[in-house]
Amino acid sequence: MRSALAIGLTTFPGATAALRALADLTGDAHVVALPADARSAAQRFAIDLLAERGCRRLILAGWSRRYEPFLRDAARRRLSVAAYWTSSAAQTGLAGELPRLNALLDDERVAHVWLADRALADALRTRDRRCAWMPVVPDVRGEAHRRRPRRADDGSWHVGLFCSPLEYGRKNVLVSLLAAAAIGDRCRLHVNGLTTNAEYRRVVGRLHLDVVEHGWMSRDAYLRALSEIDLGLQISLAESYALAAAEHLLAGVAVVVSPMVPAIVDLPTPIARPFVASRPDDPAAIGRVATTLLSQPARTRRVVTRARRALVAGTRGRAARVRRLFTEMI
Amino acid sequence: MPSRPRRYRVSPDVAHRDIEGQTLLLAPAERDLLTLNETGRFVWRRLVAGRDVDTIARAFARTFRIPAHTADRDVRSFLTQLERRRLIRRG
Repeated sequence: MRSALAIGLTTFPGATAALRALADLTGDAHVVALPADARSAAQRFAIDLLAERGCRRLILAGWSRRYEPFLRDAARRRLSVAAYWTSSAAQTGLAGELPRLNALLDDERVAHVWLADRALADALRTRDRRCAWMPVVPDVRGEAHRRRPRRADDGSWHVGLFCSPLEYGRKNVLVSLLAAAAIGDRCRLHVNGLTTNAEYRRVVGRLHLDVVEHGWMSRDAYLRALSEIDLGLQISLAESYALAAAEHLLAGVAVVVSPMVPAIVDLPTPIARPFVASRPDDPAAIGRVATTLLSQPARTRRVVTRARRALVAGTRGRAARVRRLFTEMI
Repeated sequence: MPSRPRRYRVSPDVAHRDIEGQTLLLAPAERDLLTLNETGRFVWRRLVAGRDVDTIARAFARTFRIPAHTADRDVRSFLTQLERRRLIRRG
């Protein structure tokens, strides 16, 4: 039996995904993603598991009042409790998450406050030693790492704009659509559910964008979709890491990012430069970066390969830190 | 020719519960909690009750009104997936 039980909510997809990555890295955590219903069978089962299976660690994704039964049980059993806050400071402010962050920091039952955003962690740690930077680590050994057969060249430029509907604002989707239009008539835009949103569907229509709608995809379907595109757009306004951007590179796909995407921007500058659009609010400038990558496929393959190698190399130190913090919970 | 197991049993240390009509499973080596759908629940409950594979397949065919060979294939396929995840063992 694994020593840790990690609880996330399906309404916290990013934080729950980070818990799954932590579970994979350590090999020592079960992950339960609770649905919206507080009375769900999964919640009751997870509470039973804590009681029955001798877990010594409880790890929570983000913060929610839904975690109260687990916290009470953990206190009774004297389990070590960590909460993993994956939003950056900017995300926390933009998304109205500050009350939850404050509630987490006020709760003394949480012995370890892990933060994916390094600047936020370092700032809080000066006053609260429970806080520590817990890096997000992309899975460089898993599915995204495997090269998949690419589709035949059909003369179009296949551009991906993949993100959760909960994040269209932070992910700067409107500017991304304008940038896709700036790329021109060769652009075929792949999306995952965007056209089910009436307002964005209207924008797509106004801009006469050629769109391939994949709907909300399973993990396997998403990785297959990555293999179908030539370039991704991840022009976020705030990120603590940006797993999606990293996964593009790991799949061998170029990605245009804003300066707020640490997964790419934290790579050595000459390696990151081809992918960075310096103004996330300028669709024409973003379109130019994209068009440069799309129109020079041989060069782009070289820069993507170089970036991928750098990304993989950088994960070793991050992974070691994750394992150390996990071990130190007890 | 691959063997066709006649009987399976739940692996030790697998946690499983029926809660409000849902069947949830967690094996020691599993990362994520598994929730079974209606057909999965049907097979699981009979497995836990000690039924052999042929008996489960015949009941599956009757209940879901599908041909016997289809039921046999579907049940065995599901059991193979559970075995791969080390949730069940042969014998």
